[in-house]
Amino acid sequence: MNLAVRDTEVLSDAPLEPGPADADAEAIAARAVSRDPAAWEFIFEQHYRSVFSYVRYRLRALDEAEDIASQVFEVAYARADRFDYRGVPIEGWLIGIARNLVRDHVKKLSRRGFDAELDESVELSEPDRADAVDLRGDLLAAMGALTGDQQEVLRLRFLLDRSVAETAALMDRSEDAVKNLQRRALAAMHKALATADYPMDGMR
Amino acid sequence: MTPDRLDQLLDETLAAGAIPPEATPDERAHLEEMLAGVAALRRAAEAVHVEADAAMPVARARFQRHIAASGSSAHPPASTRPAKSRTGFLGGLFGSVGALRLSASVAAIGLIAIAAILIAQPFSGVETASALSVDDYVQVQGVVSETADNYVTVQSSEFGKLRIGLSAGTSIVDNDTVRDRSALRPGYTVLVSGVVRDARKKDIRIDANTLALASNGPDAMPTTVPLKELRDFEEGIEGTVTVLAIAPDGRGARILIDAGRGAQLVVNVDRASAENFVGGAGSPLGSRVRIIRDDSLPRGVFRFETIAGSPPAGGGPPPPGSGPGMDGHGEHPSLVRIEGVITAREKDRVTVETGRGPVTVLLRSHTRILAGRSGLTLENLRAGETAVGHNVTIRGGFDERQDAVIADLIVLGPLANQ
Repeated sequence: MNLAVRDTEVLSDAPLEPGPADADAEAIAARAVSRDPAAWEFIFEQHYRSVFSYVRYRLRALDEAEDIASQVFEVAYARADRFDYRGVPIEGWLIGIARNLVRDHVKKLSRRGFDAELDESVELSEPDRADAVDLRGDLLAAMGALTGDQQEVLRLRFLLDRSVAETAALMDRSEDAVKNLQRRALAAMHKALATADYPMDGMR
Repeated sequence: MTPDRLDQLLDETLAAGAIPPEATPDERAHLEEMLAGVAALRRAAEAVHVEADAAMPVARARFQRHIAASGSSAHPPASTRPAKSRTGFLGGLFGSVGALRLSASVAAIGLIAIAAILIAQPFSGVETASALSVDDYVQVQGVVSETADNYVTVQSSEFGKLRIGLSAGTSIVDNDTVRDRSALRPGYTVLVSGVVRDARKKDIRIDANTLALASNGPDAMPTTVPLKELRDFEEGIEGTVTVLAIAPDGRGARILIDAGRGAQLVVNVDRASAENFVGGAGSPLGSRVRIIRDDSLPRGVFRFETIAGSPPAGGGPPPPGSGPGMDGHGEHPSLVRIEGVITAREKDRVTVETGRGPVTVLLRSHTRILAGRSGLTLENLRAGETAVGHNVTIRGGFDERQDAVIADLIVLGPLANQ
């Protein structure tokens, strides 16, 4: 879905309904530029889950992920009038902000000596407290065996449930490249999970 | 087993939720290994979604406070983003050179006149590649020029040579029967229904879901004609549809029409028009349509309608034995088409009650579903909505062994009892 918009659109106070088509997305983005609160609430409802999930898979602590996911929307709102939406999906823009905030956060942690081993592509490396996390501990360790691009393609495709086309747009790669990365990443993950005796019941 | 084939099989497997039957044992083993990782990732994703849902109320309240505290007055609206005041091309060329001003003005008038003529043309030339995108579902017609084990080359007047990939799942039909690959002979016209895998100019590749043959070949090879993209509405544009392309999410569609202007027009069309068109009677290719004004659409996107009384190219061939629910024949190649009401769905198998009895329809990874006026969304359908009770129009091929229609394109309608 292309959420690209051109830079000047007629604004309106019409209420926003869920499930925007492309034309609606253009209008919403235009209203977002003017910091229309209704547009921003709509964007929040549409994209919070994705943004949170993206951040959560890159940070080990739940409270930090919650804080940074909120910051993403605050930063986006503050910078709204500086954006030129042409060709940039709203979600891509938000994920880009999330990526930068996480990167900055990880750098701060590293400077403070919390974890000298952290790097931008392998922030997640230890089990967390929640239930998910027994699962996630092995998974994340397996993810750590992958390249940054391989991790990113798995996050976008299977954790954020993005299509090949959307993933290609978000990663600025061709769709063929994404499919190739996806296959290599899954093969590498299988290898890593098998080593960790991870339960391998998949869809067959 | 090549990396490209594995990529393709994996893609199909992920879309369908099951490994395609044409996968070899070695390929199946590789795919099963990869799917184990996918299942693990998806379980983790579900857990994170629970966390996201739990975090959302607090985050929402925080964001609302942030908006309220920021106040719209702190940031002036950018709704009227001014156009940059910069010197245009002509101004830059002539405006700063005083000594040449007079002659420049004369030249400028000439250039402006040329520009005005060009601007008055609502079409602009497009590269062939921009008429198709990777993963588009496409229907295009051409003449077979070369055959091989796993592909045929088809010459189309819109795109030149197309490489059409064949797989075990490719259905080949003609007006009254299912055919095998030997029926694909050079010189015969064929309608290709498939998914674009490579959209680069001169290297367009389409994986065929269904090939519909014309039985009256051989035909002359078509010559390639230029393509022009329709940018602005102009009264009176009508023509014959030669290509239909639908984006993966069904929200964008394009048609190519032969409007008799020495070029085929590439027209970006709105979803509703496309759904009406595909869900209507007759074959999309060969139908005459007109572009109609709709100022509510974004610039460059157009509404269109079928011209009443135009002779579409047949309603699609019936499967062998004149199976139930199939519409009539056409002189041109066309896909199997059925319409009716969905009465049952189990995984990838749907039963459609047609005017001539129940028909089994098989969904494949390549199947494109348009939600139409059903009130459903693709998200509903992916989440398990069966669409039982909805009207439906289906186009595709036929599987003789399973006595079932293979769905390439599904257009859902409203509930039948409404």
